[in-house]
Amino acid sequence: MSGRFIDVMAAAERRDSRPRSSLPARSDTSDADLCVACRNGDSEALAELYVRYGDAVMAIAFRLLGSVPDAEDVLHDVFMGLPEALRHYEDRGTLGAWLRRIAARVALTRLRQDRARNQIALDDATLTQRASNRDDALSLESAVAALPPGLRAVLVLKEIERFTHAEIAGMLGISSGASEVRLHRALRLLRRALSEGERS
Amino acid sequence: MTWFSRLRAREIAEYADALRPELQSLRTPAAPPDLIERVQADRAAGRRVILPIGDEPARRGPWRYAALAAAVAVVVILLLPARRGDRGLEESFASTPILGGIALAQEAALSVGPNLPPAVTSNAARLTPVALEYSRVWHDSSGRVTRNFRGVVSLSADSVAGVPAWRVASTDKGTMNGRPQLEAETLYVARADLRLLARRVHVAPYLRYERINIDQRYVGDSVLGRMTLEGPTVQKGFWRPIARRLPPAFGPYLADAFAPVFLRAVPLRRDSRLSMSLVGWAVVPHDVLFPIEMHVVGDERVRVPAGSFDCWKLSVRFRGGSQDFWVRKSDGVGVRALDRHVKETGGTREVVLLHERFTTGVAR
Repeated sequence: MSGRFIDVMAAAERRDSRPRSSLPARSDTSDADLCVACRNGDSEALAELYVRYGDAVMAIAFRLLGSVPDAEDVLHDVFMGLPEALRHYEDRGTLGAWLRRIAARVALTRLRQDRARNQIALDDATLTQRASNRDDALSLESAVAALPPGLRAVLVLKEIERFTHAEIAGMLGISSGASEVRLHRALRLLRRALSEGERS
Repeated sequence: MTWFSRLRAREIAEYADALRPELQSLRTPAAPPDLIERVQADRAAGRRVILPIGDEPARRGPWRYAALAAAVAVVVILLLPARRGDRGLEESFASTPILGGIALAQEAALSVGPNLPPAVTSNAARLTPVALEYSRVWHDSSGRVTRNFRGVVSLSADSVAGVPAWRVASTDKGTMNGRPQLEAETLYVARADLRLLARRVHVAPYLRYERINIDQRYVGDSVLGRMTLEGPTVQKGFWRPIARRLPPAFGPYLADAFAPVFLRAVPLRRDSRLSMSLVGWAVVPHDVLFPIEMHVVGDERVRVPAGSFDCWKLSVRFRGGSQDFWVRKSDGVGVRALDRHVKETGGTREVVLLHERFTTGVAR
């Protein structure tokens, strides 16, 4: 048992509400060490993980939601919950892949919650886009954005983020077969939209 | 027809292969560098987000629409009576700590911070298995008994995920305004330093519900878990998440069940002054933690049903009130607590030790 003086010092250290970094040079620190430190409340470790994986999380959120403010909200939420969520990270796959999967789930949850509210706005946007695209060549980006959200989600997750149909099925709460069908429909719609754009 | 479909599928797959590089090269915005500062500020302010780790449940089959419609109808029916009670949710699901009357004082106290040094649990090795029986009686200002509880707090050796732990089990049975009530709490604390590991609380009945269940686990500087309710008006699957920060500056933290024996681990002498915090149920923002300050103001001989003991007398202060607490000099066991001014009733509340039994449980 340690003496009273040392215990008091330890307690005084505990009083510092901002956890101190236990890691030397961040750039050299492994993901595994950062995860342990982040789990223990080290805010610098969290910041380093943000530097490493913030862009990837932002990218997947933006691709699924199609809006920078919404994607930033997802990015914020993912890193807000990361220290607690890391308890479930078992270090089996890469941290990046695990984070992208979580970011996709957060974005999809947001998409589901906003779907009813955004339905009219989305349709309006699609119509506006189609009207403007009579003059301009229809870009791939706007063609993807014009896809119905359910199809766009599968397209983004499968073709860009390279998740398997089984993983996508798990995220969307559908069967693998339904995921394959949605991808097929998304690609068919995309091809039609792009060829119409080329013709006009 | 089958062949035709396959040809079309292959055509689409080839189209996807051709399109993939272009799709993957679509530009996306970068993560704003300053957003992490907002994240850190929000976390420092105690805000938490529970991320969806598991998969969505699969929805299969054409019958799901009918099932969904039926489920919606059931939910609407259940919500109609439930909504009436849910108006006061934020006020309702809060603990009633053993020290009593300190709820709603949390936010004001947190803005100030503790003035006294934290309690040091350097005598943690002094804890031994024990069972303590207490009575808790509330009188209103006219002297009428409004609540009368009898309870047992027992301490036994256990382990949680390989960590040697104390299991603290507390059961209180009694009446509240003539109605029988049961309160049970199981708490696990690390044997080495008495930090909280996990906690489960049940109160039955609770408000208009048959029972409330609080499950907490303590991870780093946070308390996580869930609250569930039982009863005919509760929507099936209803639960509330628990995710709150426990700022290290307000430690050490203890839970209600541990209060009678916690001071066994803390060396006391005349004029000792120390601070600590009680953890609430943490379901609602004002019931997360309750900073308390203790001051050893003297020593007295105290007679209670369990015997006559030489005790330290402590003044326990918290925002909005104070009470006296007597702990046995020889081992720090709580013997008596007296609150002379219970806010709700204007009366008193007294806890006394009725009986004690040192058990022979061996640390595993």
